Amino acid sequence: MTTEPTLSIVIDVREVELDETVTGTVRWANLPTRALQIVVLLGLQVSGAGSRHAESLASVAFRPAATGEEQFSLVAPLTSPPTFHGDKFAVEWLVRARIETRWAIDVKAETAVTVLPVGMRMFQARRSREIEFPRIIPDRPDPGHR
Amino acid sequence: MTSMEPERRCKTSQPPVEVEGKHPWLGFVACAGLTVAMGATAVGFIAAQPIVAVGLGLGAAGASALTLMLARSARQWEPAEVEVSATTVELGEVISGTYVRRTKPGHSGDGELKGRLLFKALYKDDDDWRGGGGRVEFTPVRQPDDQAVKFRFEVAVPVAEGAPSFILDQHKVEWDLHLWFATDGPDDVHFIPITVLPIVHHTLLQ
Repeated sequence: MTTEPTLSIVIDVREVELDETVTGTVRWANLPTRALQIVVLLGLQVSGAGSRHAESLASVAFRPAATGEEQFSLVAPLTSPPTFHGDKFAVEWLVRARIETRWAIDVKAETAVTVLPVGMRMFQARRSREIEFPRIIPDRPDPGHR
Repeated sequence: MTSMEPERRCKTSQPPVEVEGKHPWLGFVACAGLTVAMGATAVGFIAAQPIVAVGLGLGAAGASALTLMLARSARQWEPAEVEVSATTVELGEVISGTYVRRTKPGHSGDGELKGRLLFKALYKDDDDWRGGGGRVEFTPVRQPDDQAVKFRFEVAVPVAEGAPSFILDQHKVEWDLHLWFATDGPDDVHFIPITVLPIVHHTLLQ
């Protein structure tokens, strides 16, 4: 009897800014001998209205042992959009891991992280200064929206 | 792939998106009206119906005069001069600028300027960009000027509620500065694309 392989991701800090590094640990166990490598990716995906889209922006690969863990660090590129939750669609950042195995379906795991614009954490921390910003008045619902 | 313009702010003078002259056909209508007036008068006299001739002539001439007045008001303005402090800004940064419009020699006119910063979250659907977003409304302040109608405006880009500009496959976020000068003639409308960088403006962090 064979035991199913397991894979998990633990993120150190779930909220980073663009141009910062997402760090964490990937853990696995019970890998079959035909496992090729373990890949960890940082990417984003768009969901909601329109076609679904996902892209990887940084990745790292590890040689597998039967059981083990590795630390990873992946940079969120400054030229990418931050996490966005809009009325029509959302941009989400994800850390994904997969065990690439010959002649078998890859085992996968994923977890979400929040990526903020540069300087946003410091701005939120100092917001006690009560800076007045204009509010965005939302448009009326789009009748053509499907 | 994602993309955002890397260049920083620069002073710019926007070429106007003119809607002036959206009634260029008014002049032709006026000429046609005058021709009809003269023709109707001549035909009326030839047919020995002077009352009908005068009535038709006066009616057509009146319509022509009204049309000419409309055409004149449509052409009384010079193109607007719009200047904005920057078209690439950071979250929280203030965009300021001026709007100046002069009348042509021998004309006078007045109007009101309205402004909005438009936030658009769009997705592609059958080759059309659809979606919506919101707006920040602002009121330009009139500046004293004997020679022109002049306004000064400023608006801050919201930090928390919006998102920086981006395009991601079939999805994008865009910002536009919308200026709308309403007069007794045709309105003058400007849409100025603004690139918002994913960086909170540095003066807010000091």
